[in-house]
Amino acid sequence: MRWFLPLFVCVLMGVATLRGSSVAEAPPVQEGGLLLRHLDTAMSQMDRGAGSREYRESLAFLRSHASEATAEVGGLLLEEGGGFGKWQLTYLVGEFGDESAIALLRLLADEPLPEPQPASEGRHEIDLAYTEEIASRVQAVMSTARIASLRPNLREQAVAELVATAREVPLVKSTALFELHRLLGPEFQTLRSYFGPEDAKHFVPFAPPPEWQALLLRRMQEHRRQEQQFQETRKPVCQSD
Amino acid sequence: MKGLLIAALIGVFVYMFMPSCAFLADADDTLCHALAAAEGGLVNWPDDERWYTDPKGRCHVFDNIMMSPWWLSPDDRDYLERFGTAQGHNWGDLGRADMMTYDEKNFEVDTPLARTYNAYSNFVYSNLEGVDLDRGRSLGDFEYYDTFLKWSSAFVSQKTYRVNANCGRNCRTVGSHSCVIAKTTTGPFRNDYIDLYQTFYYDIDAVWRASTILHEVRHARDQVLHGGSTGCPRRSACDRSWSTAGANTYEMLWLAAYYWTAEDHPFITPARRARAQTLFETLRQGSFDDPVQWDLGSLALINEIPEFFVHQAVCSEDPNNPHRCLFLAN
Repeated sequence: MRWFLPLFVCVLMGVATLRGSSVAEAPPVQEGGLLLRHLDTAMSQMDRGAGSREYRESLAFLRSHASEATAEVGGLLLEEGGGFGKWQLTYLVGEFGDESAIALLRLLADEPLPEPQPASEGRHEIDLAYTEEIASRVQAVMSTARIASLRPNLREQAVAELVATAREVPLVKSTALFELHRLLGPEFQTLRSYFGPEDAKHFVPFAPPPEWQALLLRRMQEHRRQEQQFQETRKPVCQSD
Repeated sequence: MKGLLIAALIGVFVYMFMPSCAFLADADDTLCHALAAAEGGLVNWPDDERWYTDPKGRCHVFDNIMMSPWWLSPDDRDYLERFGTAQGHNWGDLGRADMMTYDEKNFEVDTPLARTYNAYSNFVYSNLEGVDLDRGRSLGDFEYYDTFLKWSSAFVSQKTYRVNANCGRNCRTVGSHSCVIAKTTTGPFRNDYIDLYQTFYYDIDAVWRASTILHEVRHARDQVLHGGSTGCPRRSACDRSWSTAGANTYEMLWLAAYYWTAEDHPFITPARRARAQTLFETLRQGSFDDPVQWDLGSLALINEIPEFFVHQAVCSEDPNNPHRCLFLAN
């Protein structure tokens, strides 16, 4: 089995390449239509990510037209109610990496959250739209961080926006601080003065008690070894295709 | 008095001819209608997200056939079935015969059973061992289940008795987005079972489906029910706090473990990882009465020492209330 999954992924990538050729060869009608078509492809293939040639090509196109793509998506994002599609668009805006998206994503994070529908007595109903509204706002923060990592020249601006969001939007404070930590590494500690004592926990790295440390070290070594072994098994299987 | 009598009679008359709530709910059961309308065994399976109007049909809820490794392997399908659908009811109607079909426009598997497989796929293929993972060992064997993802796959397998398919939508009203995704029935002297509804297959993505299963499994054999005051946004699905180690806590633990996997993971793509992060945060914000102090960063080691995160300790010095809570107490 160890070899089956990587083999499967490799074979499917080949199949995807063959199927994808019809999309790539379709004649472009006009720039706007082409943009929308690449947007549709990016949404339908984002689950597969870089494993999909269609996704790679569409994302490359959308990144090369990042301002137009962001403007196109921006209208949809601010109009649409909570849904998986809205979350997908919010994710993709981060992938485009355009400067204008930083302000757009902040607008989205700032939008007032609707009230959840009252649930019937005793029924474990989930308000799907409400949940997706939260998900889109959380994703807006994550996408801002993504822009910072994709575009080093926008990093300072994105970091400043994330700090402001963490201070001003309680709903996404935790996500903003988590993303800042990931982005800045040890430098994250320099932000401590911007936050009050109630946020101190975000600046103290979580560590299990000392009695767990030996086991933790052994497991980490073992897991790195297993991953290395898996990568080595996967490489020749992929190369054989 | 006469006026009151007339008003009562009018009320009875109106009530008799008013469509019942059950009738209204049926109007929303797209899947049930699709099954009833099948001709020659061919079912026109519904599209995604019944509650979310997307005229362009752009919505794809992580069911791409390329991301369904079970599609090419009968052994994998057998492994997935043994999570509980093999013992379940109604799967014959909900896609057993044509689970290999897919929507030719978007290459997404379209039957409820296939979409349930895609939920379970997140437990199986998030482990590098895939279907070679032995799910039958003791749940206390953390030398074998040495990541939370491995442990949770065994947990789901061992704590599930039966998973049933249900074609009903089970939402509040027609077109409502307030829905029951799945429901677990449990209790003494009975075998527990989980019912999955239309929303599970068509309204939510495959990562959310997987975390929902883990959530329901915590209700099943363990019989840990929601104990919140309905004061949080999830209302009757609220837990009191993180430390009660309820279904919401377990769901969050799994989402965190899914997130904290290698960046070049062959199955967990960046979009899936991002989705897990957002779902983690929606639960953190909306499913507990007491605010959860832990964030995703607090759970960074969950796939290194899972036993630390699921260990429960005595959490109260009160002899009248000696409850145990999760080691990672809140």
